[in-house]
Amino acid sequence: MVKAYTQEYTYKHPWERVTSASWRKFADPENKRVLSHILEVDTLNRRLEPPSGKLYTTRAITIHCPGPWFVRKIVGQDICHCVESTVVDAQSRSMQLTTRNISLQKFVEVEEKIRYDPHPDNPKGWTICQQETRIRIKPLSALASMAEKVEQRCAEKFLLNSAKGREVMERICKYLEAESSGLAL
Amino acid sequence: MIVDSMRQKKGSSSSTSPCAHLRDAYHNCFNRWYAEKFMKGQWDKEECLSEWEKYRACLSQYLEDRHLSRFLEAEGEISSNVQDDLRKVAASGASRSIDTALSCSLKFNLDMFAAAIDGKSLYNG
Repeated sequence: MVKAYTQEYTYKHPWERVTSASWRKFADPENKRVLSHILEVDTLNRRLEPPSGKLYTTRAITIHCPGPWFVRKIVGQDICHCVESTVVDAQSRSMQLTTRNISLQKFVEVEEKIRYDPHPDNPKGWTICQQETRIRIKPLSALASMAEKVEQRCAEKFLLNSAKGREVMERICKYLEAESSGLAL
Repeated sequence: MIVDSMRQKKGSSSSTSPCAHLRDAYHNCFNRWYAEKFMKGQWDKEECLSEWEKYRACLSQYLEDRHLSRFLEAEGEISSNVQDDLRKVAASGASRSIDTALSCSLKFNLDMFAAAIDGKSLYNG
């Protein structure tokens, strides 16, 4: 019972700007209204490898995921903690984020991987974002008998949230673009 | 839709973390460093160290007091076969170290948590 979804999206902004926006995605107060399912984002760990230009970061993300009443009843909570690990390789220009839930693991495992790379058609100007989300309902969990419904819900929510995430990313990119041209003047 | 009504009920999600101010200070500093230095090839030294120290000190206190004890409640009932399951599913060493950390759960503290989920262990696989 694993469902996987992949999405691809092109930002018409350079890789440097898009990855800068990615860091701000959950943190800017203005975006909290749109991404209101994100309650807290804390940085737990960071490490810079000076010779290689690699930056490793671990963040804890607290998500509000109410779901339908029967899921709440079984799971007993509507808050989920996730851990996001990010590697930015400034030299080869890639950013990879992996997010997993660490609470509710006995019911469901969600893993989301996002990659930002320079777009092959326009490496200096555009960025390609590849996203893969895997949802796995634990076969022995109390949710298993309703797995279809739960997976459907999860999927709907993920699609909704990733569309919202793109919206926010586009807005921050525009903001950063304006800011950098302002600085250049 | 349920999702929408829940969101309205929730209202604007103002942070409840006591470290919110220190966190904002650190994240602002980090965002500036990332865009203006790291992205321009200046990756020889880390910045925002004092912001990081203050934020981390607050966070470790906070996680020990509340956050992680909640994690433990949520995870406390993990049975051994679920752990085996996790082990099989895990593509990398990451969840293995997470469940090792969980099995020593009574001594769960920030450092262990950080070690278990350290970016390094996640990306070795």
